[in-house]
Amino acid sequence: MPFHEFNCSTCIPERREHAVVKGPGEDLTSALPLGYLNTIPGSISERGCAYCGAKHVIGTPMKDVIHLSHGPVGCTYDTWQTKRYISDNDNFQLKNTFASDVKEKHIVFGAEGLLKKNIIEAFQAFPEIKRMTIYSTCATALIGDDIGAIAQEVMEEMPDVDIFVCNSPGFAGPSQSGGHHKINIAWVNNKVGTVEPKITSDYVINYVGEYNIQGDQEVMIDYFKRMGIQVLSTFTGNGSYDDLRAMHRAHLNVLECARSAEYICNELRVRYGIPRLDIDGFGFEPLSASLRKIGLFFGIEDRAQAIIDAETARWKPELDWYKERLKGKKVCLWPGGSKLWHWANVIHEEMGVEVVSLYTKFGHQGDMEKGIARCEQGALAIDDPNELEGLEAMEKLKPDVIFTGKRPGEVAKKIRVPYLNAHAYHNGPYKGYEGWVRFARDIYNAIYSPIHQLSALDISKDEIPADKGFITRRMLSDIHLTPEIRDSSEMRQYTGGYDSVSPLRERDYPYMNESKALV
Amino acid sequence: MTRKIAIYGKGGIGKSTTQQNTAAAMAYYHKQKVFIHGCDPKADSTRMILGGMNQKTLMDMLRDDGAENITTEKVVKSGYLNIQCVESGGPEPGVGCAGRGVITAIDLMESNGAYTDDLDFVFFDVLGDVVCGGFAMPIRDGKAQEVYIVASGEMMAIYAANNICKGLVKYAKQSGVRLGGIICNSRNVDKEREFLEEFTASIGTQMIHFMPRDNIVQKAEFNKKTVVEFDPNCNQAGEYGELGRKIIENQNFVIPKPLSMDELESMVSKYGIVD
Repeated sequence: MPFHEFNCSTCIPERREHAVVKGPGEDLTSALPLGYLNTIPGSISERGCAYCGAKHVIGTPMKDVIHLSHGPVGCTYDTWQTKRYISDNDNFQLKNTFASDVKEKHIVFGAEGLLKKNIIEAFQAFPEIKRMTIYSTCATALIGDDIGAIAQEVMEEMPDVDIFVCNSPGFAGPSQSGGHHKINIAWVNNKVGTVEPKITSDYVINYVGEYNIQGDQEVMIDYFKRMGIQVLSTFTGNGSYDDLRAMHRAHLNVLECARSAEYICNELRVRYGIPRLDIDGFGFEPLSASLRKIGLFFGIEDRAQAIIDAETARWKPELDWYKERLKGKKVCLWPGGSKLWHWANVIHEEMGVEVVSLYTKFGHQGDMEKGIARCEQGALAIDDPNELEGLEAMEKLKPDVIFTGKRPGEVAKKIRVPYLNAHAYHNGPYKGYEGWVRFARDIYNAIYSPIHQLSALDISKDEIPADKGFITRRMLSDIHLTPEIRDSSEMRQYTGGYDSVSPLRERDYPYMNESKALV
Repeated sequence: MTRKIAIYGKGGIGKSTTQQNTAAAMAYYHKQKVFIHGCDPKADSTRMILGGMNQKTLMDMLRDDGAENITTEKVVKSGYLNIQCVESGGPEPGVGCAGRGVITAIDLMESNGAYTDDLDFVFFDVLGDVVCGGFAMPIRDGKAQEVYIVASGEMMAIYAANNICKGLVKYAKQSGVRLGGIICNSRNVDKEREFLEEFTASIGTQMIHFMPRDNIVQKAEFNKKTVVEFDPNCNQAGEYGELGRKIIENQNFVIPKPLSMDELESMVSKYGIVD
């Protein structure tokens, strides 16, 4: 077995089976690390907790909702605003967060009264918002506060509000993944089927496992609408609470992040007979294949193909400009869960980079399986890494850039490795054809930033030339290119705008108008 | 040096009664300075010393005034023979976390310096069922060094005493807490003394005193008084004085060796007692 033992983890022998090197000629039967197990004591994990997984990842991207944590104020702060799931209602759920602010005396005497007061206060402070989600935390789960009963009480007193309760305290699983599961099941159990939607198209889907990071959802919805597809709900990015109560009426569940949201898709299939179709909004080829699959399901392949042709013609020359300059660059692909396999192959194919390592914080073995199958030979795959292992891997592999979360990302900066935020992005959205070019541009900007050379200088010791030193990215990236490529009239840098999302909200959709006319 | 003592035992066995009567006797006969910290959310551990349940508990004060406004003067009440009393208090049954209340209360008293050096004895009177870590607080971190368990000749009382010993063993190494003995609060069941003597010997401790059953205890209780205060010349007052003396002079401190369930069952059937 090609397990990889980190020098920094020799004192934690159990860690050995959590890292593998994909050696020559090896397949998954000999190169699959353990996954989704409890973190080993002594290993300072980068994982989140089950409360965070439920609230921060899945609950709070819902846009027209007061999201309230029943617990100490710190739990709330730490799950607020650190992920850029924007929304088309002026980002209400990003701007506001709510906590019942539980203190010692509430723990001793019970915090149900405090919770009720907070619920009512929050609704009064935002009278236009009539929906709420409440999340239990470790403290209030331990003292046994009956959040469901309080929510019911308030709903009886205030008939125009609706409240969803998620019981996923921090300790309810090895990582945030446990919380994903809990909130999926809680939603389908308690809320799906409680609102009947207005069906306006022959093609009706739920878009599931999509969190509208910097506008991803709106980009994808644009394609769906251009195909004449009615999107009943998005679970949950930019999603509306009441739309999500009507998920049961869709013809198809289109699933993006299978790690965080396959549970609800599987339940909707069992309970309502809605099939699940896994798609991928990242990368020209996977996205094109996804649109074709959806077109095929509804018998509207021509509509899908028209989008693919138009978008590819518009954006491919720009992607290729970056690909020429990113070829052979070494990448550590260190996301949370599903981007491991969403990105592993396509960034190699379409941007020319080499994946030298991949890791997952909360992925299951199935995610690692797909990731390892799609990454380059020799890559180092790590499950639930700790900070020291990340540092050791970077020192050994010398990547040109890493894609990860902001906590390990800031660590990477200290050893002069640029990082791109794989969870919240830098200048996203990254989904869609244009988004994929934006991602390529961010990678290019990160790798070729002159700051890395400058930051290596020690101004207390090194001679700092005052008469030269002006360097641009182009000077660094184009130096080895052939003149044909460098001066190509076909390829060009990204020409989109700073904001690629807002204009989509103004678009007109002929197929949608047509189906509305039918109704 | 102040000796800190925790009293445990099955619910309803008479912990609070025994503890208050003994404390009063220690003050009356042996001139000891005593402090009682009631750790039961019901806040009934100091009623007979104070002549009624009229004090505001520590947790009431935490809730209403905030931790920063709690002072020793506000919460500690002086009762019979200047015995100092405080009640932790806690939530109504079924809500919140009473165990956390015990922890918070003891921390608050310590940080306020309520257990002063001039005291001879501090008693922690703890809820019968040590249902969670909070109720073990008095024997953690070297707070109480001695434990006395109140039991009787009934099987469930012995079973509870044995269980408490298991908890005690866990904390004995970490905190240095030791078992000082088992107090038999008699229920007048057959062969009670023999059963208790065999049980205490087999777990490695002593039956420190056999407290006979006497209706005057209930009578005093109805009058919100300890036996010593109610009638210092009665026989039962002397019994409490005797228990107090034995505790003051006690040298027998052990880490108990609790019995397995099988051993306990066979001892019970030997005495033929079915509760």
